[in-house]
Amino acid sequence: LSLDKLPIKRLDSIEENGNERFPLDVDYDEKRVSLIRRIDFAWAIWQWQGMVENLQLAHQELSVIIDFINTVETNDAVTVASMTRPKSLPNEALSDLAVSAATKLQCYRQVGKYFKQSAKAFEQQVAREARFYGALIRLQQNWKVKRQRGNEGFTFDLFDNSYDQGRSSSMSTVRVNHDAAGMLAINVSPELCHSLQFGFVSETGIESSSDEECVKKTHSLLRDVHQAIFNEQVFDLVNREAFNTSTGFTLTGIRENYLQLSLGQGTSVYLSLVSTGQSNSTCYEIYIQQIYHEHIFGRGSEKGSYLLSHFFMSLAHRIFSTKILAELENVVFKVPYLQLISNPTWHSRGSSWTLFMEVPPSILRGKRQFWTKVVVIDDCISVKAEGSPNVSGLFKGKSEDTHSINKYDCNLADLPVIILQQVASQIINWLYHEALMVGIKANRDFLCLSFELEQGETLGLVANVDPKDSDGCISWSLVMEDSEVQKLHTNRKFLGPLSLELLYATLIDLIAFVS
Amino acid sequence: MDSQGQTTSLQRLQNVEKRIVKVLELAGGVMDELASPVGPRKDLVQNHCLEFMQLIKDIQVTLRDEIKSACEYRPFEKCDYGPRIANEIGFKKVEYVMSQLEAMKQTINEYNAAA
Repeated sequence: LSLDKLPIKRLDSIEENGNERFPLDVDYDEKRVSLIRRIDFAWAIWQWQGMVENLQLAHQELSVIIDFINTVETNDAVTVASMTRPKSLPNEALSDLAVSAATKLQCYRQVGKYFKQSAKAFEQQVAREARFYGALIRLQQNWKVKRQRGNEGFTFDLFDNSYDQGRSSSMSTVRVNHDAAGMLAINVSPELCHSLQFGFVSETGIESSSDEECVKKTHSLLRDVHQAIFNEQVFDLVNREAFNTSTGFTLTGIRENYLQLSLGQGTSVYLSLVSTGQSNSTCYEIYIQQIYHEHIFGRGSEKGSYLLSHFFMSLAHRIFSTKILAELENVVFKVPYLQLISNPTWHSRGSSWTLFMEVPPSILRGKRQFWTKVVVIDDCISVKAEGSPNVSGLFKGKSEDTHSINKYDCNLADLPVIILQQVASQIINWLYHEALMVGIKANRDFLCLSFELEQGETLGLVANVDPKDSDGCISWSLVMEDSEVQKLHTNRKFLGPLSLELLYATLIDLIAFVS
Repeated sequence: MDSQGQTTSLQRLQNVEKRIVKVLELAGGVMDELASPVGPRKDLVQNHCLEFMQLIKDIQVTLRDEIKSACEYRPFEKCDYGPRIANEIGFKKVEYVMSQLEAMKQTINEYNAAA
């Protein structure tokens, strides 16, 4: 049931004069509140009051304690004597234990995992470094290794104290790097191309090859750089000498890393620094390296600043010797019974050859080998040949004692003639001795062997030499002479070039004719 | 332990590094064992620890020896760069001579073939 309020206002009061006083209009909420107010809460207020009082008391006590604690903290008046935890209940203790045990186990697991990970990482790093240091220590057996400051990196030091400081090469220090796999690698840069070197590729190409190949390749690179530095030094020294001394050569051209010199007689040479790929070692390059090596590293230092002169004189001698050899070969080629032997002199400015002639054996054992020696020092030719025998020396053993030695100095143009003459003379000597052995008296001239006939005539075998003769350079003639009217009646029979066997046969015939 | 004569210094030091790795692995193994939910196996832990101590001892002994002998090592006392260049020159000489001999051999072969 809900009751609507009648729109009748209740009378609050009536005054004497008849005014009606109505109550004020109160809304619904206010009415409720006023009704609630009419309830008697006395008993509840009483309990509430007690709680408020208790809280106020507790608050007061806490304030006191807080003040106390603050005072104790500042240590002004009192300090803490002891503190006791409130005793924990059994279930609290157990749960604490369980938590700490679980935490401990977890920590152990984490530490275990950390150790194992560290072991693995360390193992990998150790393996990487083992390759690097293994390679480094092998290379260190041959090359100086220097450590950079601050523990960062190594370098190969190719510098040599013996070198001149003036041209100190930027190549002397080679950094040691790591490639992507951590292995040792060096970077020899292409700028070295302009000197004695190669344009070598940097480390990127080496990864796929084995450690052994890497070490070998690095070692090979270092060798090349080391040699390049040396060659630069040699070139510098040659350069300096070319300007200071001029014995035996003239400086005719200069370019960067290039020198041109003239040795006279139409010979010009050059010396240059090129990339190793281009250069082809000739004996001259090797020789110049050798003599300068001795100079730089201390041993052959007497020559001092005349190394270049010496080198070029050696070169000139070499060229001259080649011409001489050509002449000798020409002669030996044309004369079948001559042999050519080269004699080593172990001297860069001296050469020597021997021409041997072996005569056919006869019934009587005479001397069979005759030699002619050609010695060239710088551009001086000397010819030595066995000549006529000495009687006194015949009983001694050595050839130098048994025979006289003919000695001549000559020039290149005359060399073939002189040699041929010596050989022809040796043949004459041989034939002469063969005749003597059988008791025939003969006369001997340099190139003529003659026999006396009755009536004062002479029959002779005459040698004629001509190096340009293509049939054979030594040819023979029989000559009959009337001694009284010398050379008025001369009968000459040309025999041409003869082998030694034929000559011997001819001699036998002559002997038979004469006796 | 490797005897000094058979291995190089570098190899001995590399062995030390391998032992360190092993030591770390053992420590990890022990920790894993302690973290096991059923509790650690006593004999396993004991063996690991024994091995651990032995390895540590080996490492110490080797390092001590290496440090002592390292003091005697003087790197590159005698520089052989000069003789090295002499060798290179000698090598080139041999190469050159061989090429000359090769040419001579060829000449002889040609001569024999023509004859």
